Amino acid sequence: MKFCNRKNFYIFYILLFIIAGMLVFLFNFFSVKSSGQIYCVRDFCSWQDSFLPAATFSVNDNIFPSFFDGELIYHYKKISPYQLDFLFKSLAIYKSKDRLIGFSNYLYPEDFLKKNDAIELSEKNTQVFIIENKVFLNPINEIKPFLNTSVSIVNFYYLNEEEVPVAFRTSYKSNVIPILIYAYSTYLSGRYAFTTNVYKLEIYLDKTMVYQRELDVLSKARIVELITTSSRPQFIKYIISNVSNGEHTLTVKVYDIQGHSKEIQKKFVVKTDLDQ
Amino acid sequence: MLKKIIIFICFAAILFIFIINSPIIKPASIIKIVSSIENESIKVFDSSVDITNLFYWNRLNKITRVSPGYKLSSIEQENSTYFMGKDFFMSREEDGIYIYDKKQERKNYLGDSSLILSNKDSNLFALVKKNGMEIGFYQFIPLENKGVLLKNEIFPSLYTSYCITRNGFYFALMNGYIYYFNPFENISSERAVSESSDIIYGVSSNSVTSDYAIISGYNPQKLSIFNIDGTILLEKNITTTKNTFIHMLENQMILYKEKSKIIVGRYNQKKSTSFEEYASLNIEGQLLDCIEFYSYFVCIISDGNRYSIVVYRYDDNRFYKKDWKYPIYQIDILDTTGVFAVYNENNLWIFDLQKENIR
Repeated sequence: MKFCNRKNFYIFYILLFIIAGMLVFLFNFFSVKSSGQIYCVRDFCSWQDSFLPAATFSVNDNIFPSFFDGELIYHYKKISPYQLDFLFKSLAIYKSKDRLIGFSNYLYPEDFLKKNDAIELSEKNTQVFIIENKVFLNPINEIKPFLNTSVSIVNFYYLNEEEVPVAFRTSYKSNVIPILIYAYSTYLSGRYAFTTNVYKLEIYLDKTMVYQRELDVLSKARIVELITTSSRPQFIKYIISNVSNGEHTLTVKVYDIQGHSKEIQKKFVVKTDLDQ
Repeated sequence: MLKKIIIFICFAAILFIFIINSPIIKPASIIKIVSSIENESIKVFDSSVDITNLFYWNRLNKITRVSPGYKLSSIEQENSTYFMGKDFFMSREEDGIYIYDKKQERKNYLGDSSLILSNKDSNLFALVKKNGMEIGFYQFIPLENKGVLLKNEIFPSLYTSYCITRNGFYFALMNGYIYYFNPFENISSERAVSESSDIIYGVSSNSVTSDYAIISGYNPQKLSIFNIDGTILLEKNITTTKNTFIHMLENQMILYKEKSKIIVGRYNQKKSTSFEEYASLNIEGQLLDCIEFYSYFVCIISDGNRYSIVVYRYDDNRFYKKDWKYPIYQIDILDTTGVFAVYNENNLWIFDLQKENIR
């Protein structure tokens, strides 16, 4: 390239510098905003390796998008390997209006977070909980827009009116299978009381158990007390991810306190080209 | 000639670098080092201090028994993590939790849970179930070598902090409640103690009284001390915002943090709202462990980068600090005359407070 004069030479390099700067800015801007794919690893109320009532999410680039404006009010940083006694690793809790929102594996939390800010985690997994007016909410509903799959429920299959309805999706285009189990229950300050005769739930994908949960057993008087004070139906949601292509059978098995059980089965086919 | 000078300068530089980097343990000016065990290699710096009692060194993946004369033997099981109690220790293994009697070193199966909460000075311990809100309270019975379930509780909220003493359990819940359980007097209570904030940042108590101290609130944080009836004995604002650092000593003294310094003082049980500040020390970090002697208390304070042994002497109400260049997380009393050990998973150092010359 030949420049007519020294002025053009400088203008060319200044423009080149500005364009390069803009490219770097845009790259960083979008890399923060689009934090790759978020998977729900274990849902709210999960029994396996998770602490109720937090949901566990997995992100592929250690960045989780903030879904709220909030101020950091609590931070627990593990220093010693002897600190094995805490529920969450590196827990940060933010206050957002009437809500407390907690994240695990958040080693260096910002004092203030705004919606869509990047939460840089120290690991790929994070456990998230939300408390509003002392009641734990399911974070799935808040994080749904960021999840790479929908958790909407399409069909309900009732065993019978008094027993446990289980909902599956009708189509399985994705390899992520959401399940909703509806148990008549009450929920008071995070304490569960199931009024059905369901004592234990098991979910099987083909012949492998993927989820098991024993429910709290409370006295009848306590259940009546809870229903009269704060009663609302409670769902148990569970998501199975990374289901391989092909035909599968999903089985939900419910037990009563005496160990009697009932099964509902659903056959489905996964067809996906996603490499997850 | 020039060549010789250059070679000499290079040699001197190498020698200087070697000297400043050599891992020499210099005798501390305020506490005297007695011996060290580094990667199973024992060095005795002062043979006049005898280790008369055997003690158990928790190395997380194994327990090393150190007998008088520095005889080492270890108890370990593959993929296990160990937790220490007063007369017992526990291991979490692949198939569940086992409890060991320190005297007999026989193990008994206990059960399964997610977390084990224990205190090195107590025979009480707690097991947290997988949902994080169901906690079983246990007592170790030495002669029978077993843990007895005292009580099972399902809490309405997760806990943020806990304290196990020789006679009770204190759990700070995320809903602003403190749960207290004394199995010996069969007293339990669940009481709201924090109205300004849902979160109690830290709770501490001792084995002498049932009073307990909490840090709660946000901007400003509050230090509050309650008796077991829930009566407030002391309430004062502190300048920190997200501090979890609080420790109640056996003699009713309180160790807590203000901005970047720790403060020790005493509250008066009879004179409500009275707090007498004794001393402070500028230091960053959190309290990792603490032991109490008759005329001193010694603790480890770290911010994750620096590790300090902090000694407070009651005679002159002063703090003394010794930075230690290796990570140290736990501290154990070896002899009530002032001999103690600090350690991590690989190395252990023994110090003596009696022989040192604190001035």
